[in-house]
Formats: sequence, structure tokens, C-alpha cells
Amino acid sequence: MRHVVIVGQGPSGLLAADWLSALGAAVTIVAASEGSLALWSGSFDFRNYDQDGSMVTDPWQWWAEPSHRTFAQAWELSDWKRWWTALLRSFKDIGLIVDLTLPRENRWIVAPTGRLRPTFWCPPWQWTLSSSEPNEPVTLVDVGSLLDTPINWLKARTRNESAWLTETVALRRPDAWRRHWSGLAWAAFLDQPAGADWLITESIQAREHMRLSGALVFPQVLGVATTERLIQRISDAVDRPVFEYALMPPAVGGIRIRERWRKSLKSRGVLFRPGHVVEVTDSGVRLGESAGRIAADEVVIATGGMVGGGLALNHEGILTNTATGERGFFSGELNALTSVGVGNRRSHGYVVGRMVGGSDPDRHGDGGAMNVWSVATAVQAIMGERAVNSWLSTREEGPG
Amino acid sequence: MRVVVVGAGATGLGIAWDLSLRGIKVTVVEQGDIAQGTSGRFHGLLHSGARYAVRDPKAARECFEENKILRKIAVGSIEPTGGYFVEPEASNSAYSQQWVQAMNRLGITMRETSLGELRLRVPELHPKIQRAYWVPDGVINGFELLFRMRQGIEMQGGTVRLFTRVSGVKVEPLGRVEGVEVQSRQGGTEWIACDGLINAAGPYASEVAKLFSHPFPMRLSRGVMLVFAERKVSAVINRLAPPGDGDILVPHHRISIWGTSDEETSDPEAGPPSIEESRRLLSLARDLFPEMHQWRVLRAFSGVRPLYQAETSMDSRHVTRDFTIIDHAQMGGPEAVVSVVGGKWVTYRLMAEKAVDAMVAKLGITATCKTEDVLLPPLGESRLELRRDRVNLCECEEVSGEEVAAWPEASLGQLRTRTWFSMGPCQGTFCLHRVAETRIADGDVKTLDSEVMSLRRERDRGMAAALWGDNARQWALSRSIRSQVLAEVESE
Repeated sequence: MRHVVIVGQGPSGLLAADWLSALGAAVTIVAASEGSLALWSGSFDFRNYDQDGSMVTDPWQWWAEPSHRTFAQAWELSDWKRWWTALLRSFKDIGLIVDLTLPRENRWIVAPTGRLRPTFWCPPWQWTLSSSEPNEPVTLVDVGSLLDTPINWLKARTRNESAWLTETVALRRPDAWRRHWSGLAWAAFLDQPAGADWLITESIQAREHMRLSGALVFPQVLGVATTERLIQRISDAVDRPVFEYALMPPAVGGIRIRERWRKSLKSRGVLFRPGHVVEVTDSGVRLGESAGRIAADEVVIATGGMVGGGLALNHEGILTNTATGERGFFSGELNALTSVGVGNRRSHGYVVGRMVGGSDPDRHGDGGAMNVWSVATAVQAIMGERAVNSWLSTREEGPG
Repeated sequence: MRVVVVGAGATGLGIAWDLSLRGIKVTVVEQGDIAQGTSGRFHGLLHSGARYAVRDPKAARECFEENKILRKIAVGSIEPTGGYFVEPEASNSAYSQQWVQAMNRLGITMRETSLGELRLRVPELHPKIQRAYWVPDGVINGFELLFRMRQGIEMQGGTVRLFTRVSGVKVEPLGRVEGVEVQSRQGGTEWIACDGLINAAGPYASEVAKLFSHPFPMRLSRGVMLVFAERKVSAVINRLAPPGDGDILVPHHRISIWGTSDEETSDPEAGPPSIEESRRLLSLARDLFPEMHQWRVLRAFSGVRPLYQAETSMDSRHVTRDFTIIDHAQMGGPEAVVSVVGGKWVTYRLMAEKAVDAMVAKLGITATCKTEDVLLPPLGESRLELRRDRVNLCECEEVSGEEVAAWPEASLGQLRTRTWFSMGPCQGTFCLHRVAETRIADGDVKTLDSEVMSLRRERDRGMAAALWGDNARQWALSRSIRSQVLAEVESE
């Protein structure tokens, strides 16, 4: 059995653990911190913006263009299709309610300030709008005094600038409410039976004030552990679909995915070990503070960009990957930074993540695609293409 | 009797305050916000004069005297930290001797400090410092001092018009100034009648002078400074050497500012610093603060010093830090028009006194200066008492919703300098949308968006100029949150 150590537990680290363990590898995840999933609400981008900043409606078409295949191993659309499906199936396996049909077009998600942003795939709780068709009217829910819900800004923008119709209903505050409650505190409250009951009662009350007949949209506070059940209960109570829009980090949506993923991986035998990797060698990794070594046949480095802390810059502008020791000069352009990590094997270990291969996901909106591509590339290299292909075909055909 | 003052930096507001106290009505016209130019972009040092003791004794003496006055009239906005002049290992002790003699000659307070005491007081300093002297340096809260001055001016019946620029000067047939044409940001123009005009436009002074006279020679000198997230020292630390780049660290509230560079420029607008400029400045700290490269850097910023110089052959470090009052009538310009150039932040009051003395002579009245003895009125309710259950909109700088609400008219950019929100390590990433939410009452999304983006750009420029260590990570995180969560996509 091949033993693989994965450094980092953000989206690409967990994805690599998922696929490698499914293919029969023994996986240990070593991470110094909680990982970056908690930063985001869980959407995965394919390609949102063209080079000139204009929005991409059909990412499939964008990737079909030969000049857009910028990577060493350019993928055909059929490759993207197989691996995206594998990702969605992994999400289904960890308990998200997922439709395995891949989206045809980018949809819009709504920022807490009401701005629209394209994305390819979102978890089912996320409120999305069609970017190419008229949208149904919606009712926005104002859960009182939530610091990171700029509800008035959101309202003003939807009123002034948007093509869809909205109204707002305000919920009263529960007795337990405290001034400092963040989205996460709200979610913890609503995870409890008393909190959920309070919300159902309030939603039924609020229903009296709703004039529109479309979906009911909450800020992202609808529980961490009980979300789907809660959404179903509200939906039954008010007789309309219920969604959420994402808030600022810490993002409840990302935490939901992280918790379920970790639990599922643990049940499949993946080991999680806290620790700071200071050296990667041919025989494994060495941990800092004399915490010893972990032997491995292969190492996957998923430490993220600077956000994840995997890359260090010293005052001379020298960028060092703290895991590989790889060095490069940082000129102030993010592009120079991202080219440090590539999906292929570099001396020791495979580097995976959203900022690989010269990609600038913040600008291009292709972070999800980069995660999928770099992890898939590493998985193929470690487990062999034949094994991976036969595994993928069972994934495609298996029971939906 | 009305005098128009151009510029709402330290000098302009100082002049308007001085005029107000002499009973003369004033209108201050400022193209941007209070302290948007040079006065808002300095290290905050309340000079003791020691820096200029050898080369520029007149400026040194003035700094020393004004330092004492500001401690009195601006109490609350001055932090009397004291300062040290320290001589790094292997530096030229001949200069130190010269400096000590000059200090004694000028009578600037000074005492030699034992290296043991120095190490105790400032443990961050290089262990091989060979000599140290204590001087009465201090730290100025520049923004607060100017807001107090503005409040005083308005209490005396004066007017401060921000985001308004002077576009013309009207001169009567006999050659006296009789009014100025001003243009608001929205583009409307109007005339303000006046009996005198004082040009205190800092780096723009020569441009303003073109409206009524020949431009005069100025030397613009650009200085870059680095901001660190912690208060690393308890007193101002100066390098005991001839004035040069990278020779001062100022503890400013909870942060520290390291400065500066000095480079001649022709642009009165201080462009953003480059990462090369900040790294060069950082490298100059090695013999004073060997660990500085590991301190948590926040950002870099730059300012332009408006120096006045008739001869053009000198390097700008050698141009006097003293100031000059120009009577335009003597240069063939209109009567009752005065320009003030050069000087130091610390000597703003003296500059104002001399400029206003020149003006009252022109106006033919006698009224003596009172600014030396009148306390600047303290700010009202801008910083409210800490409440037990308060919720901070800006967590880095602990700015609550109540504090933001105390400035109902301020734009987001103005709120930044008034409440200090967005000035901490996250540079607004986690608070700008919260503060913006408080300003959406009238539903004007476009204006709010543009204020948000302009504050983002301003913060971003400062961060991008100091991209190393944790600040680089913070910058990358900030960029990601803006694009992934807040969907603030800007074409690059």
C-alpha cells in the first residue's frame, strides 16, 4: 500500500486525501492550521473572467478554445467533465445533497453587499441567479443586527441596479441574542433545537409580511450540522424555496463542508496530524519543534498560497516555499508568486492548489478548476493512469 | 475684513486660526481634505531641533521653541515621548562632537544617556550602539491637532471649504486683491470677496501663485516612510549622523514609523512608493534595528516636502528647513497677497504668525498674535467612552459604530483619518463593508461604491509597497476576500 503524506487541509488537501484514499492509498494529512475552507462559502469556479476582465458565461466554451489551454498537460473538455463529476460525487459521499449533472453555464452568486459574482458550482444552500435568464422575485431576510450583513446596502443595490425584484422581511431578535453575535454564533444557535424552533416560529410570522412569492433568502447562518434539515423545515413552514447568501469569513458554508469532509475521511482511515512541516525529503516529511518525521512514499504539498502560510517571503523579496524550500524572486506581481507551485513533481513532492501553473484565481475566477486540475494531475502521477481511469469510470457509472 | 487662505494643511489652518484669534474673518479653501497633502504624510515627529543643530541652526532653534509651545497649546495631541540620538557602531564620532557643541550653543535640552539605560529603555536597538543622548523630541497626532484647529476656526466664525480649489484671483485696478474664484468638486464656480490672500498650498504653492504672479522657485522633495504594526520603541530614535535617509523611528500610538528618504521630484502629488524604495529604506535600518526586517510591516507611504530655495544647485538635504514669506507685491504681483513656503510641521505656528504679521501690515491694522497662549479647543464627542458591550466595526483599531456615527457628514476616506478605522493590520479588509453600511441611508449605491473602491485603492497601494512577511499574506488574503466574497472586481 502506498503511503502518501498530504501537507495542508484546505480544499485541495482534502480533495487529494479523498481521491487518493478512494484509490487505495494510505493517507496522512499533516496541517499546521485549520485550512482555508473556512474562508469561503464553498463555491467552485471554472473560469469566470476572460483575460480582459469581461465575464465568461459559458466556461466550457472558454476552455474549449485551444489558446486557453495554458497548462503543460492540456485537458480536453472530456477530462474536465470526468473530474468535475468525480468532485461532485465526492461531495455526495460526504453527505451534501448534490445533483451530479454539471452546470452548463456560470451562475451568479450574490455578495453580502449585493454585488453579483459568477461561479460554476455551489452547494445547494447557496442562492444563485441565472446570468442569462430573468430571475424570480425573492424575499431577503434581515436577521437583526448581524454585523456582517450590510442589508441596507444589499437592499439599495437590488432596488437601484438589479433586474430582479426583492423585498425584505426582518426577524425579531431571539432572547439569547448578544450584540457580538457573528454568523457563526447565529449558526451555533440555530443548530440547537430551541434555536431551530424559534426560527420556524419567526419565519411563519414573517410570512405574513411577504408580498412576493419567490424564494426566501437568508444570510448564511442556517446551522453548521443541521443545515439541510433546517432549510427543509423553513421551506415547509413558509411554502417556498429557502436559500442563503454568503457572508464574510469565517464562512459557515465552508465550515460545513470542512467538518463533513474531515469526518468522512477519518471514517475511511485517513489520519489527521497537527504539525508544521519544515522539510520534505524523498522518504517523507520532517516536522518542526522536534516533532519527528513521518515516512511516506509520496508527499503532496497543499499549503495554499501566502494565505495558507505555506509560502514565506523574506525581506530581500525572496519567496520560499516553507515545505519544499524552493526559492524564487518575488517582484510584487502575484503571477511571479504563483509560478512557484506546479502540478507536477518537483524534486520532492507534488504541489497542488488553486494558485498553480501561473494562475491568478482572484483575477480570473478559476480557483476551483485549478484545485481540481492540480489534484487530479498529482493523483494520476502517484496512483498511475490506468488505475485512475478505471476508478473514474466506476465513479461515472455508479449509482447516482 | 476677510482673508482667504489657500490650503488646509498645518500651515493653512495655522494661519486661519491665527487670523481668527486676531479678529479677522477667514475662509480656508482646500482642494482635497484636511491634511491630505504633506501635513498628513509625515512621520509625526515633534522635532526638538536636534536634527538640524549642525547644518541649519536657525531652523533648529525655531523647532526647539515651537516644540515647547505646542506641548502647551496642543496638549492632548502631543505625546511627550522624548527621543534619543544614538550613534551606531563604526560611525564618525567627529560629527557627534560637532553636534554636541552645536546643541550646547543653541541651548537645546540634551543629556548623555548611559548605554545601560538605553538598552533598558529601548531593547530593540542594536547592541553595539556606542553613544546616546536624550533630547525633548515628541510625537504629534497631526490629524487630531488639525481637526482641533479647524474646530477653533469655525467656532470663531471662520469657514473651511474642503474639496474646493482656487481657479482664479481677481485684482482691482489699483493692484489690490479683491477676490478669488473657487471651483467645487461638482464643477460649480463662485467668487469669494476678500481683502487679503495667503497662499499656504504646500507643494502646490507655486502653481497657486501662477494665478496672480510669477511662479517662484521651489524644491520638492519626496520622502518615503514605512509603518510597522507595533509600537516597537517607547521614545523617538534618531541616528546621530548628518541628516540622511533611514535615520528616524517614531512611535505613533500603537504603531511605529520608520523614515525617511529624500529624493527630488517635480510632482507635487506624492506618488505611491515602490517596493524597491521601501526595501531600500528597510535595509538602512541594519545598524540601528537589526531585527526590523522581521517586524510586522503594515504599509509604506510617501509625502512631498515643499522646500523653498532661490538657488537651484543644492541637493535637497542641504536646502534649509527654514521657511520664507513671500510678499507678492514686491515681485510685481498684487498687493495684500502673501505666500508661505518651506518650514517644518513643528514650526507651522511660527510660520502662521509671520505670515499673518505680514498680512495685517498690508491690511493696515494692528492686531498681535495670540496663538502662543491660546489652547486649541479639544475635540468634542469624537471618541466616546468605551462601552462594555460595544461592538467594534473596525476590530484592529477598535472603532465602534458610535464613533463612526459621530461624523455624519464624513465620506469613507474622511472617516479613516477621523476615526482611524482601516488603519490596522487588515487595512480595511474586514471592516470597510461594515462602515460603508452605516453610510447607505439615502440609498446612493454609486457614490458609496466609488468611495469604497477609492479607499481600497489607497490602502492597497500602501500595502503593495511593503509586501513581505505577514503583510504579504495579509495582502493576498485581502485581495482574495475582495474578489471571492465581496465581488469587488476591478480591471487591473
